[in-house]
Amino acid sequence: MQAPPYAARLQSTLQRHYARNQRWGFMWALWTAILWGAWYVPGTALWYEAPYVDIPQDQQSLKLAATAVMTWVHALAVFVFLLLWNGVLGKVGDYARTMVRFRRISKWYALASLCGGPMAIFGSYMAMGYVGPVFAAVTSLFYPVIGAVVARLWYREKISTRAALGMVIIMGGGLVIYGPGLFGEVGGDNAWLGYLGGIMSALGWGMEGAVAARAMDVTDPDVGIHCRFSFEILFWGILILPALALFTSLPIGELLLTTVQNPKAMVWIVLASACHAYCYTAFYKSFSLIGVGRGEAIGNLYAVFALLFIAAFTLQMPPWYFLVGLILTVAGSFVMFGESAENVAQLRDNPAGEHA
Amino acid sequence: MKLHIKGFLLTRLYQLGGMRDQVLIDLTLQAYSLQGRYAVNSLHVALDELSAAGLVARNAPQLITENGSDVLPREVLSFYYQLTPFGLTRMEDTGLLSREGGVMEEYCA
Repeated sequence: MQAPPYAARLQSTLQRHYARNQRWGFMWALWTAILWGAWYVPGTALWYEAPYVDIPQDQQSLKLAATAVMTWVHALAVFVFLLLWNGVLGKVGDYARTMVRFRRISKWYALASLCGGPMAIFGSYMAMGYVGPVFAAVTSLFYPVIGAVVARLWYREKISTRAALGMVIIMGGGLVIYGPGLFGEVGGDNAWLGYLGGIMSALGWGMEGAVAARAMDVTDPDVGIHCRFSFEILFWGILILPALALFTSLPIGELLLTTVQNPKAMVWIVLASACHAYCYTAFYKSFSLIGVGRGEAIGNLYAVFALLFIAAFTLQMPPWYFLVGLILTVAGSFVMFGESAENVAQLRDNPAGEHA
Repeated sequence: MKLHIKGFLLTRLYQLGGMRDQVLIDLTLQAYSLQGRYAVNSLHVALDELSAAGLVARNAPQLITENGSDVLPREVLSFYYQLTPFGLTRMEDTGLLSREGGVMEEYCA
């Protein structure tokens, strides 16, 4: 059989090349959602172990201090898992080379860690504590909009009509899943602190993607996520926890010691960290292939996976409207994935263009 | 300390005006003492990421026959990579290129 002419072979190889990149981008984003959903199981179980289970519901400041301690220990374990990942990939040298260039490059990862760590996680816990967990989950669903808008304004990331439509459908699916639970929650004492927390979490996670992508333009995503967690460890370990221990009467040292001395708590932290480390790695890898807006929108499927994992481990079936939400989120993902691979191959409006 | 790998790819493209991926990848493998199929594929992925982000343009696609010691001869896609104006701006933003046009040569391999 005669081989097709050169021009036809070149065209089909080009199409396959772009399609493969697009598929990998969406695959990484889907792994983000799966692992993020899985994270909720050990992440929630941790609250049922000492010292966290002993904190009375009305002691909000102690609860927030416990959250800070938990987040720091968690970030340390994530760092170890990322070291293992980059060690296997042979990227530890590149991690060091990237970290040292703080003034012009790694400072963006430091800012991303502030957005995604203290701002978003703390905000999410404020939303949970002062309004309710469903409210916290619903506000977090809006982070792709923030990410897409910031990426668009800051470095002209292309958001096609199809991508925007997919994003809206996925968020609609998330709202169907969590929305009905919201009615019993809104209101209450100091609710404004919860609303503020909700805004902080959506802004924090949305901005994290856009800020990190600025540094990722010139660095490796596996290395980038490692830098981001290195800075998060420093923020909690050098600034926030010492400040809380020095300037408040909160028992930071005691919380820390009790956590690391409780093997059950540490098992949940290690499991949660493994999910979180590779969830975030997949998250950052998707940004460089399909863009911040699409990566974050597909990442929003965590709403579905979280309920599925919780149902699998607790044997409690989700409510009927979960199915409607599931159909919507899956449909939204297909709308986004249906975008042409050539369009996704060039994520930014580039005046120079390509002559492919 | 050497530049990080994506920084190296960008500065080499700036200094040489543009390059075919095979040449650029060979240069990088040599500079960082890397070898093997995994390293080559990782560098291809890095170039794809730089292109998707709009820092470099993939021009003049060609099908070339690759003869590796570990694989059978096969037809692979090759591009001529060049920096875009956005890539130059991003290199300036991130200190890889000074405003006067000099690259951070002392960090290069």
